[in-house]
Amino acid sequence: MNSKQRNKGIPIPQPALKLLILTAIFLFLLLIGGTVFGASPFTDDFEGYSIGDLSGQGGWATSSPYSSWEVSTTTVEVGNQSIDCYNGYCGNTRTGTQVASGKWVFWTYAGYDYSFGFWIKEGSSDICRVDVGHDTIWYYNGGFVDTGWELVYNDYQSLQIEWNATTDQCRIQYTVGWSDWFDAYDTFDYIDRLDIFATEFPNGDRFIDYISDAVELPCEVEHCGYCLTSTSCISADCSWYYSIYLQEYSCVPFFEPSPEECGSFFKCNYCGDQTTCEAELNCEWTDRGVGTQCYMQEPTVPPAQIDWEVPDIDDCSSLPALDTIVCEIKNLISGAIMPSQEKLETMYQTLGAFKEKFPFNYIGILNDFFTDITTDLEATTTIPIKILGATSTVSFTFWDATTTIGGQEESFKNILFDFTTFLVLMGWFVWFISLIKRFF
Amino acid sequence: MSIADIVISMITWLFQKLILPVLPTNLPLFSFSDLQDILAGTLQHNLVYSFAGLSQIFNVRLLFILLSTIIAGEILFWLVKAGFFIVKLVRG
Repeated sequence: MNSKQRNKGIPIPQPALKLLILTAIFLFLLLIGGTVFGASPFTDDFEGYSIGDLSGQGGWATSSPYSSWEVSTTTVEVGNQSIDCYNGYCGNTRTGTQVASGKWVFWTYAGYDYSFGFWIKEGSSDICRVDVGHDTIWYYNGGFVDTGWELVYNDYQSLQIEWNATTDQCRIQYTVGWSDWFDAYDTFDYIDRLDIFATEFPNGDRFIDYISDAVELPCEVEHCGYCLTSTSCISADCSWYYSIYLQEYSCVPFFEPSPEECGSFFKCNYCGDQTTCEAELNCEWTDRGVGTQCYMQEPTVPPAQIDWEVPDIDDCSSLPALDTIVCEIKNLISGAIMPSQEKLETMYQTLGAFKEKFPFNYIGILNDFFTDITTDLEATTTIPIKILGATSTVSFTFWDATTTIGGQEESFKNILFDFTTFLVLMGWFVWFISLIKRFF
Repeated sequence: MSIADIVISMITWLFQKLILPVLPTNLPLFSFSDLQDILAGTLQHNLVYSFAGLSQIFNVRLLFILLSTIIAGEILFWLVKAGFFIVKLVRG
């Protein structure tokens, strides 16, 4: 192998070399500001501008003969500033980089029903126009076309305009999906300019904020849902939350519990004075070492449930001699017969455990169920009714209507009660006879 | 230790060593907690919600007492029949 051959290294095929060079040239053209795809000519959030005329700031100029939109802090979607047109006729223009096929996203706020809109242009040539107003969204297609989309009032809503220089078409999106592609005013190679205008006079606020190339808003405390990482989420004063249901993390507004109100039990400590404290159940106004406050009352531990307590033996020391002997004999017999308290408690606990075993626990719960049902069914309630728009409650006064049976006055309720009782007893008696018959 | 203590110790020992370990707390197919959930939860709520105030005109208490006697009577009948069956089985 000679030195010339050694310097060649790994040979690069000619077609691949050409492709590499062309890619490098293309990237270079992009870098120096040529026509690009899939972006927007410029973005703007109107932050850092002076309050007042937009014209003269950030590359914006007034579109003659209109007056300028004004930078405002009144109603914003992102950051602290937006632009506002209050005095009827406003128009501003700004030129950016050339984008052949791209998208602009505008956050729009309609305060009343008169339109404002967007012209996207190639230089000074109108290409696509979209209007917001008169309860809907319009686009221009040789004539104004009503999309039929309902306009959202008094709240920010994104409006997207996408263009394609290859097909010379545009399309828009508001609250619903994308519209069909519609033909532009004219053929075009790129978009580089935006005019925003308000051409109807009646005074009222119209706001535009955050012109960008993506519908996602910046990660900030008002838009926590757009924060994608824990770091950016926490930096924006939001909360990085893990959903057990979805099994994923998301960024949500920081949870601030609402101020608690004075109440019973665990809410006692929210009662600020003695009157409100003592009006609540189980609360007491007392000092437990850090000043007088409202506390939940200490729970009283119930005494151990013992059915029978062992009586104390008699004290014989103060009795006369003969009585002392009798007393001592009595105590001796008592001591021999009487169980100790400890043994009694053990037996009681053992029997308690026995009651928790099958079938006694099942029988016990059935008994409790019947008792609770019987108690709860005593409660009465009213039945509300509504007839031909008039509301009232069902009257049950007929239950108390009385009549005389066998010379004695009885209410309808009692008569029915006795009658149903008789039926129940008869039914039970039939069962009882069948049971006896089955035994024999 | 008194005589009563000795008797109580015997009774306690019988329960703790012979009866309590044998008796189950839960039935295999229908646990105590299931029964409690159904009775004290769903069923009780639905019954009370559906028949509130019924006891004013209907003797619910008597009905439940009689139902309890029916359940007890049928269990007793079944136990007697089972007893006779075992006696027949043993006698051949």
